[in-house]
Amino acid sequence: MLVKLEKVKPKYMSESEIMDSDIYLSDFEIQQNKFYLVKGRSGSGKTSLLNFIFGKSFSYNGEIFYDDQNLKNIKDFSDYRLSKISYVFQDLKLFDKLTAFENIQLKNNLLKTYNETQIDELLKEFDIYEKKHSLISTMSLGERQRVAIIRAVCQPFELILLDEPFSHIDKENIKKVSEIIVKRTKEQQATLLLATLDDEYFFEFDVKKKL
Amino acid sequence: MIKKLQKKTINANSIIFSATLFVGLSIVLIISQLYFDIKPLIQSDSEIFKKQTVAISKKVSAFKTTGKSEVGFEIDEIKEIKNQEFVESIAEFKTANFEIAAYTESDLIPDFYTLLFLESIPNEYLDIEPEEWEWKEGQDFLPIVVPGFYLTLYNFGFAQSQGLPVISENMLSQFDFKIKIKGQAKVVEFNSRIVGFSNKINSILVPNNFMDWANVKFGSNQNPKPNRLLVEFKDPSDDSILKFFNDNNYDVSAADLQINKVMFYFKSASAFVFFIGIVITALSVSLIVLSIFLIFYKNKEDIINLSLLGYTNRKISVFYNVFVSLITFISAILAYFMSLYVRSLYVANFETFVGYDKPDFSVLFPLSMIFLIILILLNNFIIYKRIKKITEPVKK
Repeated sequence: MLVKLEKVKPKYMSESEIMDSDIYLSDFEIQQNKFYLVKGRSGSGKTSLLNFIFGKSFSYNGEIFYDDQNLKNIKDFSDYRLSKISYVFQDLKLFDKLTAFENIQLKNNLLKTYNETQIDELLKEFDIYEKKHSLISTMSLGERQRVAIIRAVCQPFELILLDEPFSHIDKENIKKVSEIIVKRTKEQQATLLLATLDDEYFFEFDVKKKL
Repeated sequence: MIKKLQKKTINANSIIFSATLFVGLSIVLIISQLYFDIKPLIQSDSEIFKKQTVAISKKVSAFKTTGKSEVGFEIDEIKEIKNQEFVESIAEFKTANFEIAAYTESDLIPDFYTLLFLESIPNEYLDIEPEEWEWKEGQDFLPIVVPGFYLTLYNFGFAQSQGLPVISENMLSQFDFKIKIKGQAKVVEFNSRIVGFSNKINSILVPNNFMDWANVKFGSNQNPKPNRLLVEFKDPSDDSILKFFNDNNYDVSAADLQINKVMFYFKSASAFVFFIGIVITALSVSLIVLSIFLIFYKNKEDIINLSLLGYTNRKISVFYNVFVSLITFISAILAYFMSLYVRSLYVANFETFVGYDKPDFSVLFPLSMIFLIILILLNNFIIYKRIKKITEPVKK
């Protein structure tokens, strides 16, 4: 067991709002090497759930454990975010003042996971190599999403969280990008947790839950 | 990469505020060094600020006009004064307990006859060393020392109003006159002359051994209490001197404690300017920190995102810590050189006007370093704390 959620409920949601949820106010475990799909309508708390697991927010009742450690007891999340959990944020969290390559390097520099040639390969695989030195502010949403995904895989991880990661990417590219994500996840024997409205994309999920 | 990102967040405000930090630090350094430079000058045994001796007496109030004994110092009171930390030594004025008159029998000067009083003090307390300042039993000549201002009063007051000629100290010392003392049904006459003018003791003085002899021979009271004491201070600038005298109702000429007053004003002015310097420094530090906080506020999202990528608070703070440390360092170094320059200006004046050599001891460098270290540590701590607060998980 990698992650364990015990009776978790967002503080800002009432019990009636989450009564149909498979996860909130239940005990939910995330196992290693498995792919999880969390579906939910807009406002059902998908991003919140991922933020809780990532340690970005403690705005919940109940407890979340990662490797038996209560997240609320962790003082410094830098190690946790550097080598255990990777996250493709819904709002991407890219830096507009930097180029695509600089955004990736900002993460990659922390552990020097890849060299520049390897990053170039990833950019080519994701079909955005020609945008390597473009400022993020000049790129399309789909291109930005791909940069954010590359950045997310530029680190070792046990769990990768994907929050609506393909909302602005065309189907052909989604397939290509998904295959790369699956490959990287399996290489690291990691767990994948994808939160989405209803699309299941091209992953083969072991567990499907609704919020 | 993080440096490139954070560099773009810096604005000119912090650099402008570093100029005010320079002003504040300069004031603090200059006033501190000035204090250390002036203090030994005032406390020294130099010509200008030599150890000071003052005459003290008990304050005469409406209730003390009847009896003479109340104005005399008791033994315990003298002991208490002697035990004060600021007192170097103490001497009693010996007062004549017999009648004294002075008159002339000379053709050179107009006749006069006047009653007067005489006092004596130990020789070491006299500010002059007259050649004829000695008396032995059986000696017919009695030397006298008078206050210097008596002659000034005569020359510029009495002589002017009466149409009399002005006279010099030398000339006055040539005039002989008689001193007649009377007591215990005995009368004796002495030839006398003014042998010196004191600028320190405001009394008509005769040698100490004459007074001892005359009081025994002619005095009505064999154990008189001293009415006045001469107190020599270790450090005339000591704050507690005036306080002690006031608290014990002792009378001391305010002019006699000029150094004490000068030092008091100097200390007060120094403290005030030092305080202003500290306030400016504190305000500058606050403004710099505030401008950094403003940068944090404007770039809060970026700071949070860096933390979400896995950057530690320490790594996120480093750039801002280095930036603030750098502007603090530049301000402190400039303030150090400014205060060195200002010191060279006033020390040159000291040398010109009071012949005072520049002391080797300088607080400028150690003080600059202390301020630099304190400010850098303080700024870094505040910046780190703020970054930590921004990046901590949302709890509400």
